[in-house]
Amino acid sequence: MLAHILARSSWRFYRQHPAQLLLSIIGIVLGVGVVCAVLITNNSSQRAFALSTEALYGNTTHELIGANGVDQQFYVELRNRFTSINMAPVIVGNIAINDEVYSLLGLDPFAELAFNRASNSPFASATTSQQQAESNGSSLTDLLRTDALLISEKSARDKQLSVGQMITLDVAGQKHSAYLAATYQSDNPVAATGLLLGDIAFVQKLLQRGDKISRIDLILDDEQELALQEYLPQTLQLKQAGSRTDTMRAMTRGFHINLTAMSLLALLVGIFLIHNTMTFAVVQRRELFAIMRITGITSRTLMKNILIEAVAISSIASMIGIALGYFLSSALVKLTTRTINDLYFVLHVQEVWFSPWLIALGLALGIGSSVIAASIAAIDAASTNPVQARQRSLIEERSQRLLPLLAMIGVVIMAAGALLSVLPLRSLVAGFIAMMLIILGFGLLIPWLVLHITRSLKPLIDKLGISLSLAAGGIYRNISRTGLAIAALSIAVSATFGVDVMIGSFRSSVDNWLKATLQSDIYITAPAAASTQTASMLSPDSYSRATGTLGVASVSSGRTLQVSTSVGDISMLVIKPHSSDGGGFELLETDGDSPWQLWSADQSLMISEPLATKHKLQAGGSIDVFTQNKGFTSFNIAAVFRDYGSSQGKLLMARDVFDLYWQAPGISSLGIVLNNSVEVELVIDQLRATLASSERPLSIQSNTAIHEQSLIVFDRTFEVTRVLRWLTVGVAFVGIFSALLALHLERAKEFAILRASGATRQTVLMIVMAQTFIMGLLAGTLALPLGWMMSEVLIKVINLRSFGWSMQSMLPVDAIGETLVLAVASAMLAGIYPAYKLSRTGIAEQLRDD
Amino acid sequence: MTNAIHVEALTHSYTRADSRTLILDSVEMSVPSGQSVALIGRSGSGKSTLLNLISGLEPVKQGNVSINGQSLLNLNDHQRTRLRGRQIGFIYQAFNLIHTLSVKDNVALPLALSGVHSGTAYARVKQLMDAVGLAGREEDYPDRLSGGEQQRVAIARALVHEPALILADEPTGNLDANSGRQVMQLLRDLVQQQGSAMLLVTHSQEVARSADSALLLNNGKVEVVDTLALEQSAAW
Repeated sequence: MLAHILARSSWRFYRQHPAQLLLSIIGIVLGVGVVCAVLITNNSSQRAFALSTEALYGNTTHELIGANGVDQQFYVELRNRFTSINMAPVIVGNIAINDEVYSLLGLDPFAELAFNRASNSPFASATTSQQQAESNGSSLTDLLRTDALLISEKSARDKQLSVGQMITLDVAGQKHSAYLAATYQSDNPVAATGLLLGDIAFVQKLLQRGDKISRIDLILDDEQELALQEYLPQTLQLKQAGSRTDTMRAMTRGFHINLTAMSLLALLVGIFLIHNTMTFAVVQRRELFAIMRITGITSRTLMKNILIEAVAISSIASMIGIALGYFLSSALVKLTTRTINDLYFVLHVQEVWFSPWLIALGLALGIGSSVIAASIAAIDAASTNPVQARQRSLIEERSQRLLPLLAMIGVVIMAAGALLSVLPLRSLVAGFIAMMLIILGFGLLIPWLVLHITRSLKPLIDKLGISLSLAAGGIYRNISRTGLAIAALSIAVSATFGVDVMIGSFRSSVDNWLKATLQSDIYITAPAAASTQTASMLSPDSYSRATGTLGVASVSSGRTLQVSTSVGDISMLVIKPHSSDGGGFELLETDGDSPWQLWSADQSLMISEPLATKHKLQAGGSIDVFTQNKGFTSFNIAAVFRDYGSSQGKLLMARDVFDLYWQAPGISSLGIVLNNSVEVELVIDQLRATLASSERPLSIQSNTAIHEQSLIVFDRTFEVTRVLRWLTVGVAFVGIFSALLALHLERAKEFAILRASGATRQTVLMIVMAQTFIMGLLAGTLALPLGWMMSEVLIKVINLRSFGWSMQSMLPVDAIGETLVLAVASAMLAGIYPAYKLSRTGIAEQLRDD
Repeated sequence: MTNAIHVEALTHSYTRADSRTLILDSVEMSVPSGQSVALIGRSGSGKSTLLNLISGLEPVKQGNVSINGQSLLNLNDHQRTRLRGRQIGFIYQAFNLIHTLSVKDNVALPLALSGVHSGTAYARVKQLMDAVGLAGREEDYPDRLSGGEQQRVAIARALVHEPALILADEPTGNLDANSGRQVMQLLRDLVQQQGSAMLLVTHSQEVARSADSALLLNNGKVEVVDTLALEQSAAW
């Protein structure tokens, strides 16, 4: 019965204070929503990887690959020798239809039966009966056409393509026609959205692979694997199927962890605000609780009641938060997929995958953090002497006495965070824990700092008038409330400042790196269907044609390919530079004094900084690279160079060295240095005319254009971070709004006394707004050192550990101004309603005897 | 003699859920300058409402109230507040002190709101703290003081800006008999010294008798009563 009475009392309180209930709910909803959105987004990406593997590999257990594809003749030999092994040749590439990129899978329909990739594919049915194929809207004759392609029913419907129609394909800038022979159904969204299937011979021709195939897929048991290993030449490699997908997953790990960290930051701010709102809800009933205690209710019962209240509110709010997270994630999935496509590889799936454990996790986060936040207030309320509960000054005095202890604990926690961040660990999680400790420690220090700052400034502020004087005094006299609100806002704003400094520093480093790296005036490439894929080849005569163009001083050539190494699949840039000193590459570490000489010698290469950092490789060491001619070969690392182009790392090999180990004469890009005083645009026009005779459309761009485009991609990469950052600010805004509303409404009687004593409505407005201004300014000012510390951890620990990039930190002056404006504007915006409400409060009602 | 308060045909009612309750019905009354007048009446008779209307805390809708000859009828909230800040001092039964401000700051509040320089203000506060017998307690917080002490602080605050009119709503209602007597003596002395008028709402015969005259609020009407015949009044 007692529980019911207490529950009714709580219910009545919240009915009388609906705004407070609403704000508590909104705070939890936003906190849980942001975390769930990121968890769902990450989960969706992981699921997309799994589905990609399923769609592209089916039942494949192993794949056989070569350094430059596999000779199709070898497949024939293998098939004849191991008749009992299920094997299928595969060619993989990317093409575009109306600027939309698709994965193109070239398969042998007769070898596919056992593999079951992109399930329900008509390839499978075609091999069983013509009738079944016809039921899919096509005839076997159509399927066997030399230019036949298959598309999923969903894609066909979405793109309004119909069976029997000719479609135009963009293959590395060249237009080709294909016949849409059939559609297939698939439960796998990867297969259902971004995949085209074709006969291997047609795909081989389309992608100009000559007599090469991408890989041979195999279904092997242990015995067959051993037998095959013995037979294979050293130039071919037998790998577990999907190991490339694992590499992809590893590549994006840092990216996803970063997203999670931003969401946890939102939750941390959310916890502060939940604590804030729960504290106010308890504090407002301090006297009521005192009466309950006097009537015989034990402190334990009281505490239990407050915690049940927290569970009830947070359960409802967490459910709404999870729903919000689901909706937010659909936008985040699009943003992250775009970033993954920009930076890593083509990922077609943009669907949101939701699993029941996310509900459990969201509930645990929301309810758990609310209960923790409420328990502090509950312990305080239950342990306060009922007689003292009415003495507000005593509460404030006690809070003020507690502040130095909290500050000391804060400093110790911050020191622990700082220590953890400088320890030579490689763990990204340790980096995030270090950052969270610094934030938490500083958060505990803030109320003490606020108390001392406002107290020491009081004499100065007193001279500025009664409004400011009362406003400033109100902050330190109510430090138990204002300290918390300022801490919550400060942490949120510091997160935006820290991220701003990190992005600014990163952008500036990338900008400088681009300026140094883009040594040529003009770059020529054959456009690839997808930006992250291995580039297409230029015509063999492009180099000589470019060299012979008027105004051209020198031409460098390059080629990018993906190679297998002892530390996984890595992109390799093969170049013939303008000068013997490489030009443009900033060497961070070298093996001896003449690294470029060493690099151009046999069995040497250079590696990029991320590769060195992630795999603890250094100049003077070595790395095994799987070559076409000699299989795995050990290469000496001549130097480590700075590179922001790829977080998974890059190899740099001299063209002459490459030609010793690969039989791949093509080049994919040209860099052109012009004679002095030659107009860049003029030469670009000439080059277009000169190279137009070759069949391929080329991308010819000045280094300025490439520079600009690179920075656009950079900005796009951080769009998701910016979105999360604003969500964090949103959480903080609700926090400061609820804190100010509760704080000021709690002081309604105080303001009524002021009004009765002669303070006009404008004076009350001025006092409240001045107080929120000072609170915002303090929050903004204190956010700067915290934000700077966060940016240092982000730049020197987290970025280095997740991406392997080192960079110089820069303190942008405009970000300082923006941070202060953001803090003050948020506080003042949040203060408008409480100020208005207080200035309109009925004085007589408030002053009526209790 | 001018009137510190002059009320003419003041009518006031509350409307709640379709029903209208008449609280004041064409009230006519005056409080001459420098005089103290007790206002008595049963609980719920409208004494506090009358005080709120006189102080400008609630707007006059029908009839008129003048403070020192200044009519409140056409004043907006801002102007009424200014008038209150300059000319009226308030004392409440529940003291209504700000618990997060020290005693000194509580008393200084009306001066600070009028823009008086802090040096001048605190000198005046010191005078009043001496006068109410709380010298040396300036830095204390109100909720650490006894009820009698808190009411002394409230008296100091009401008088600090030397208002022409003191409105006291049950100033001894929360005090024991002895403390109440002391507080009333102090209030009377200080009001007399300052030459202010005082309208005193009370339930105490003793307090009412100490006033120069008494008014009874009954059924929305105000009538003058003989302070000597108060014991027989049905107003208690």
